[in-house]
Amino acid sequence: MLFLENIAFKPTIKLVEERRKRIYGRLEKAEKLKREREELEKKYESSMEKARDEGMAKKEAIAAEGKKLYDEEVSKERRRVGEFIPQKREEILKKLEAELAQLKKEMEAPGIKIAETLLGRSLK
Amino acid sequence: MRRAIKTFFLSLSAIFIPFLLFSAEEGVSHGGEWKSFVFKLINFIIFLLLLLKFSKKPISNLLKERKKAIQEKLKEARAALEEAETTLEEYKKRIANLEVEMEEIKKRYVEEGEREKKKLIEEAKREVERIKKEAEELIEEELRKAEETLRKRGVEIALEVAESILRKKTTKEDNKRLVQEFLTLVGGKN
Repeated sequence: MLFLENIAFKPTIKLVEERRKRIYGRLEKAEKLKREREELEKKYESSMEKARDEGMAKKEAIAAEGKKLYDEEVSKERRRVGEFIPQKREEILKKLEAELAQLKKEMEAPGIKIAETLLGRSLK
Repeated sequence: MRRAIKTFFLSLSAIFIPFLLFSAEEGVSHGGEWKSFVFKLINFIIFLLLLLKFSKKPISNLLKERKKAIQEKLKEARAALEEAETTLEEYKKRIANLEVEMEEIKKRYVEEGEREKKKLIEEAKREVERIKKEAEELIEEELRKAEETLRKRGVEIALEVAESILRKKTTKEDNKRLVQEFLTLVGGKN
């Protein structure tokens, strides 16, 4: 038994043990590397998320500036037009009144001419 | 596995060692019954040969399967390790490049924002132009209406002047003549 223990059991068991270590050692190392990779992946993903959030905040701020400029320009023009139209209407009305007054003077001669034509004689 | 190997060797030892010892003892105790010992030894050898002959194939198959399984396991472990090393390496590279990548993402978002801002500014210009054009069209329409009013009023004023003059200046003779002309006109038509 002692003889067998030394020449058969121990070397065989040693061989099996080495093989087991070789296989499981690799698997354990792979598992360790996988955990390490998962840590890095987590760090990578959280950093990217942070960058995306920051980027999005900057984008929104710039777009908000654009919206503000849009509102300012459009409101300014609406105000200008809101003042310009009544002012222009007033001018047109005044001009119309002046032209009507002028027209009354200018239409006296054609009025007389119509009356003379109808009566068939001069009214002067 | 370890236990199985040990059991296998122990079983072999338990069967054959006492058998050999007993055979040797028996040979010695009977003082020279070598013949019997040799016979038993031959028996044992035959038994061993038979055992080898019949157990060789199953044991060989078992060992082959075992070998194959171990090779598979080793291959699997190697592949797992290689994959883990590759992906880890990939992530290490990504981490090393992380700052640059983060800056690129931020830059992309900023560029998108700038594009949106530019688009809004252009839209504002178009909207301002539209409002201006609409106001100009409105004024032009009002001017056109005023001119139309002036034209109509011109004719009305001329007729009002004529009517006023006619009311003042028409005599009885004028009335008679006008009636006569009217009747001639109506009679001529009939």
